[in-house]
Amino acid sequence: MIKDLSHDLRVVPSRDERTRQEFVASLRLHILADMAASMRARYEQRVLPRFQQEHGRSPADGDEVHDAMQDDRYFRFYSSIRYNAQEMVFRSVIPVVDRNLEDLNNRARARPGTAVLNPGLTVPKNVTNIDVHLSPGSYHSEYQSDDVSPGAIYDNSINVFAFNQMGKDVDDIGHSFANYVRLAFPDFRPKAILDAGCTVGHNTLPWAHTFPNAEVTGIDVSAGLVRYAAARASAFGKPVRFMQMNATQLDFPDASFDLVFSSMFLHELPLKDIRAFFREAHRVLKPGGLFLNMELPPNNKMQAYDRFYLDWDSYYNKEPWYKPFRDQDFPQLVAAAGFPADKFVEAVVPRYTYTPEAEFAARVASGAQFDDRTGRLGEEIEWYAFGAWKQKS
Amino acid sequence: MSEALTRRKPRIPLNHRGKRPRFFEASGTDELMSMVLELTAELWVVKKRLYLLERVAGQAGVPLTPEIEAYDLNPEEVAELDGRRRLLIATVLRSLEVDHTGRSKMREEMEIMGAPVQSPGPGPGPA
Repeated sequence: MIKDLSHDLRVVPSRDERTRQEFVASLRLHILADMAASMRARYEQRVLPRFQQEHGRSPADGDEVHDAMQDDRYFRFYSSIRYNAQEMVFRSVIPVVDRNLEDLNNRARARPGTAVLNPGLTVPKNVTNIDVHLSPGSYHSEYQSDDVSPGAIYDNSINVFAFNQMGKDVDDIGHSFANYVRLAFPDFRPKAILDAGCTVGHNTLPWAHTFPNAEVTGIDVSAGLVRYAAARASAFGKPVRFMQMNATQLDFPDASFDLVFSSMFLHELPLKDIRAFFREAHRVLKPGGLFLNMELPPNNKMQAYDRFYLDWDSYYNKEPWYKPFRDQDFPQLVAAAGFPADKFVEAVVPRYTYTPEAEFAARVASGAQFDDRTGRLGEEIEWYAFGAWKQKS
Repeated sequence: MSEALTRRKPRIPLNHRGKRPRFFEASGTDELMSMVLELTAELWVVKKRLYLLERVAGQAGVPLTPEIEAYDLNPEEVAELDGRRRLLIATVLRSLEVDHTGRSKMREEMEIMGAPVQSPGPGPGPA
């Protein structure tokens, strides 16, 4: 069920290690599909009627649903099992990376790709102070010189985490939004593209695939991720440049890019850093350029139960900024960075990898529609993104 | 336990920093949940390996079941299995080890559990 990574930086587990990874992936699918459905039914049949009886109304937001669910036995088992499964994702991968560390680093050195490092950069506290989403060592810890292990841990972990639902190379988000841009804006053909907070470049390379004439750059604060991303791009033969840089303080001149993209990035940032990144994105975009962030959907577009369901990560999965971000008014957030209020862009799309082209194009044309699949990893997830066009000069 | 358990020093920590949340009021229930899940994972690993073993042996023309019943373990094999059994138990009980900084030993044990197993003799390996 779990396949080896398809590029030359793969680390190959023993059969028992692979079996353990498959178990964790199956356990996560069971939690996020079967148990999630049972928990919702439990809420509708038991928790909600009790809440309505006590308060004379339904819960107004995710926090109220969370409070009401606290005493529910099924919710506790769901949370406990999901938390353990998250730990087990990393436990199923780290020993394999560790055992192959020297070989992996040698292979990365042999095909470095284009990695521009900045040893003077201070990795921000939102990365260093906690082990984000229970990942031991967070995104940045290194154990050897020129270490790529942060990238290897992330790449291999997400391969287990995604249980084959996020594309062939865990790159469906990138393919979905590169193709969204291609189909939704046929007159817009970006020549310079920036992917901010790109980790290993999963969702960076699809832009180079869809827009082969564009210069594509990925940035991240973690040197280990940048080295790995560049070597991974080189292994795939994609001429993409990766740079160690903080998105809140970009080392690019004004008006450098036609498109600034990010995916699954904003929810890792404190609100002040999101605001700083948005201002920087506005600055480095050319007039008429597009800013687009793939993210979890905003709470104000979701039903109370779906808000609670998606905010689980913020409550329990060491994602402290996830809910504060999702509680924002996204159009306001974008407008505050200087983008015109009437140029706000929002999209909900099915996964490009698993959707016939015509159906995908029809969904792009029909505009953003929100439901309980939006942003929820399962077997029918749909991706959300928002942003804006910069004013043409 | 033998050199098998100390031959490789892990470099990357296996445990995240910080306190684990408690989902249950009854003391010990959270740890029991971790035990059950780790145990189930390890049980699946074993079940899949046995499944493969029977098929590989069958393909090789070895009537495995009666031979297993008749097999005598030598002292080295007994010691090796003792070590592996202890590793299994340490993994199943890992959630009781609340010291998140000093668990390198557990980490090391996990790694060795996942290491490829040496075949005791010649013969075709799994595909």
